[in-house]
Amino acid sequence: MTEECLIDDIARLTMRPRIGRLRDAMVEEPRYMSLEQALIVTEVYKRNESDPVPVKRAKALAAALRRLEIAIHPEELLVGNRTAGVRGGVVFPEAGISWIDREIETLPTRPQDAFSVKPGDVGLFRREILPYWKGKSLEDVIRREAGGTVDAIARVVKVNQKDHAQGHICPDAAKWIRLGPAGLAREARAAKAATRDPAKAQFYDCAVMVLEAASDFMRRYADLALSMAAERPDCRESLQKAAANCRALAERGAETFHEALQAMWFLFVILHMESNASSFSPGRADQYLYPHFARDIASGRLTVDDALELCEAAWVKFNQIVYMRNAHSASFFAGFPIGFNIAVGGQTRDGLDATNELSYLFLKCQEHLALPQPNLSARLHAGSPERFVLECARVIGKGGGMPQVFNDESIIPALKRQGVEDGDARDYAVVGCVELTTQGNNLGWSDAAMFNLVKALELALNDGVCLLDGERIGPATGSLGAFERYEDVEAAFTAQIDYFFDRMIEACVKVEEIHQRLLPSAFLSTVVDDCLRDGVDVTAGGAKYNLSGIQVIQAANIADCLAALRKLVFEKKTIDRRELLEALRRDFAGSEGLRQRLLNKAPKYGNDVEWVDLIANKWVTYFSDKLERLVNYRGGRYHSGLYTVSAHVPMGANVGATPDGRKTREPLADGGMSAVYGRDLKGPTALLRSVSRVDSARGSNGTLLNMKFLPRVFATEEGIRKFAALLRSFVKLRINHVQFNVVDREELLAAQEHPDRYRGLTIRVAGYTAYFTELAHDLQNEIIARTSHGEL
Amino acid sequence: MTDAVVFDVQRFSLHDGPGIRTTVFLKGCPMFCRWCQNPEGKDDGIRLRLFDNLCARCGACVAVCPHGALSRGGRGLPEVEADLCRTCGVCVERCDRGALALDGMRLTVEALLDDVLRDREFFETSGGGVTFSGGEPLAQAEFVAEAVQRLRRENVHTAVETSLAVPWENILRVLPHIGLFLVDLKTADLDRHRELTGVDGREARANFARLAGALSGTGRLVVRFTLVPGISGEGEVGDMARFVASVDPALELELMNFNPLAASKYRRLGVEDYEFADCVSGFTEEEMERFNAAVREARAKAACANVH
Ligand code: SF4
Ligand code: SF4
Repeated sequence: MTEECLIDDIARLTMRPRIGRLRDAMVEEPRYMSLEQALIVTEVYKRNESDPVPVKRAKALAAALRRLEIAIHPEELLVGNRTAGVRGGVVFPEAGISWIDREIETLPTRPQDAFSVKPGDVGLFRREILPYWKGKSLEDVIRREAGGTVDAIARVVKVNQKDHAQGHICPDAAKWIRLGPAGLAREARAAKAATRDPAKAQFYDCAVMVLEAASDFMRRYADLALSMAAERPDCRESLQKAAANCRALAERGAETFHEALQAMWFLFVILHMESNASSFSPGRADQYLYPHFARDIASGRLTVDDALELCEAAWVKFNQIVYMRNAHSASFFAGFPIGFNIAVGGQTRDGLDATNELSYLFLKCQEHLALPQPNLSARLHAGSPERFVLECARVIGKGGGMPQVFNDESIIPALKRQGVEDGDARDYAVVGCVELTTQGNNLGWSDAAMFNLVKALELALNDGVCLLDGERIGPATGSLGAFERYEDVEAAFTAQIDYFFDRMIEACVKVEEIHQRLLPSAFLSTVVDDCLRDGVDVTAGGAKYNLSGIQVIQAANIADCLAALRKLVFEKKTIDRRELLEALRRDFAGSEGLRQRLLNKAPKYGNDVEWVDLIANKWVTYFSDKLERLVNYRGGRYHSGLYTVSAHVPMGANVGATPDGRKTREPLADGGMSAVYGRDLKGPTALLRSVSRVDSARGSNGTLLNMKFLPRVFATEEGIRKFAALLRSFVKLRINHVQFNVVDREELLAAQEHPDRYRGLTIRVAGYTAYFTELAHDLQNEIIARTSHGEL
Repeated sequence: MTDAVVFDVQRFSLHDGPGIRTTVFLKGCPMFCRWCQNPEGKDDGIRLRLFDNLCARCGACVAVCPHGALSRGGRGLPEVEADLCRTCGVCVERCDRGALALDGMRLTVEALLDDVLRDREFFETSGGGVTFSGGEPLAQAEFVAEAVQRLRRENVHTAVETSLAVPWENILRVLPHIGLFLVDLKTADLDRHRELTGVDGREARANFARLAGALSGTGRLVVRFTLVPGISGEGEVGDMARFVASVDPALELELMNFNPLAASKYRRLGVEDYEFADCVSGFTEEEMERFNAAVREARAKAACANVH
């Protein structure tokens, strides 16, 4: 069968009822906090007090793999989880304990990402777990050793990875699938035999220990599946198959497509058991699963229908592991995103088009299931097949924001700029939400910190004093009232950035050092090149690439603020700078006219006004230049990202009134590259051109642009073709990333309520355009009614 | 340098011709269609508009008008003396709230090109380009002719949305240069044409026949017919389809549903007697299907008649 025929077949596939049942069973199960692994780990640590940390960590993981209660849903095609229930919030005492002590009572009722707590677990936690780890967990050690710096800069810089392991890694899944734990253990034993360095020998011993336990973990699933098969004649066939797969994978690499998917899933389960971190991502699964897929299809062992069912079974599994964050962090990253990011399409290591049947199959999974995980990313490049671009457009039109779109044409050069080799750069993948990484050889530390430039600007205008509570937190660099020229503002801004920047780096170095000390990760190291070859743990710099990413927040607000200052205060002088400063201090109380002038009389980022957009670029570049001069604790480079995910809300809550007319504590622009809500009024092409003026090479750690469209854009084939053309333009404009939200009924209702945030939302019909928020109420209602019927 | 009065330049237009387009709306129209969807395009002058809902009644605009055209009227809102206003824009610039706007701007071909060529990237990837709409763009044929020639030199596809209710010379000026004519026919019933549009329909009709002849077989002509609740019926749609087929059997007739959103514009402009102010929806899908069936039937009959 030719590839085109197969793709035609895929287009027609429907979802099998089994998948619907598995999905429903998963969604209906309540989420619980789980102490089981924490109890095992604590016990192992206590028993092996004198062992070095890496050995304790390996023993603890091995024990968990052998002892954790396991379960299988009788209809499952792929098995495995880190708790017997699904979506358990695992307590991970090695990394974070104090926050759980503080928040355990409110976990079930907190507004964001609540978890139920079983009766007795609060006592059990405080009795058996807390006393041992108090003062020893990563969180407590960081607090003790770096807390002063972290707190002193907290309003400007959020230093991350303080109470959990790092994650944000694309493991070498291809190698894992090829060799399995048994094959990797052989490699580790051979390497140990060849070394005389005791530290390396210990590293290899740990690797073997966890890999052997991984094989046992698989065997336990094989046994369980087999015993269930005897009891469930209705599911016997699939359970026997699962048992055979697990049995085989304990001893060797995967041979069939089904085995390869099962192997991939085990890899992520075990990584989560070891690290309990967000954003271990499968990466380019359409590439490394393809050989198995193609072989099985060619031999007739597999049909595309079966292949889709297996992939969809994996899609359901990706939603079964969730990540329990502290309440503060959950407000930054709402919806327990665990960051299983899968990238489809793009280029091969040699620069050819890599799109294959699995790329289409994965899009189909997304279309059918529309679950939060995995986070599906489509890689596009100038040579992407038209059919693939159209298919992406079609699935985007279904809503749900996926696939999000990444641009090879800008990302590959951006990564190369960070010293990534050609082939590795072309083989990039995405971890978590939008973080860019090479595959299988990088500890990218992509969420080292978020730097709030808008807060730094606030301090620059107010002599280093916080507008929210009058506390001095930055150096005294003068205040707006005294600045005679626009350049004076820039100088003060620079000084504030520099001050917090240096302290941030200090904290980042400390955090990485403590991770290395407390959370060496033997299992993870076996699937990140070149750790196994060199006998160096991944936290100690064993990876081929050792980047650290810091987010610059938020380009749009900076551009809008500085544009207003430059134009209205310093050029036209229609606003007095003292009066403005006073107004900012009072949050514009009694100065609504002035605020309106700032809003309406200065151009805004996102409207294709070059000089404004270039302000954003200037400060992003300034920050990124500073970063790129430094070396991180693992000997790698720092680079910058331009994304916030949902952090624009809490970060904005921390910033006083700003000269762009934004009131105190209001959210910043969303995304990272987006315009401030409701300020891009010239449509999507203008916004894209604005965004393209911010050098995408400065977003090598990842960027995020959100765009909104009404469903009617996707209503006809012609509309989908035009949208696909928009994607092509996005590629040509060399913007790293864009995610499209198809506006639904709820959102239009929100627009009715908060018209100022949705001013850019347009309804386009032939020969006529209207802004939604300017329509009369009854017409808005009419559109809302139609939208819910998919007509608009 | 030729210039024209433009009331909007709309980027990312998806329904005004092939691909992603920028639509340029020119002011001024010889017709007065009762259902007109772009009322700001009707007259060809520039007028100062006030958006009451945004106005803070601060009086700042009144104070700055260099021509004494503004005064404080009832409820503290500024009032403009149209005869005195020179549309200089000083008050617009002064108003912090964005409550004042001129409803058009005079643009040279040069300035317009600078603006529309910004989206060249998008035109290229989508096969799109620039569409001139209005008002009646061909009422300013000299400007359109010059602009489209320049755009052609830049390899940008061009289209025009027109009712053809202009002298044939105007059409002739642009004919060689326009990539696509989107012709809006108003009614099949010549007797009602004046009642519905304010002008006699014979000129547009004759122009249509000549244009169809000139463009026969080129694919550069699309005929559209807007359906209006309470006015259009299946019978008329059939008549229209027969008429189009009689001019050129190869021409398709595209039916456009009534767009109810225009009511908001009338409200904003303070026009109170818009006939369709309370009409919040166009025809339903089923009704549109019946109209389309009427078109198909009429075309089939016309085709038969041709064969015999
Ligand atoms: S300046 Fe603006 S807000 Fe003030 S009265 Fe005039 S129109 Fe109204
Ligand atoms: S446009 Fe000029 S002349 Fe007209 S009202 Fe405003 S300031 Fe006065």
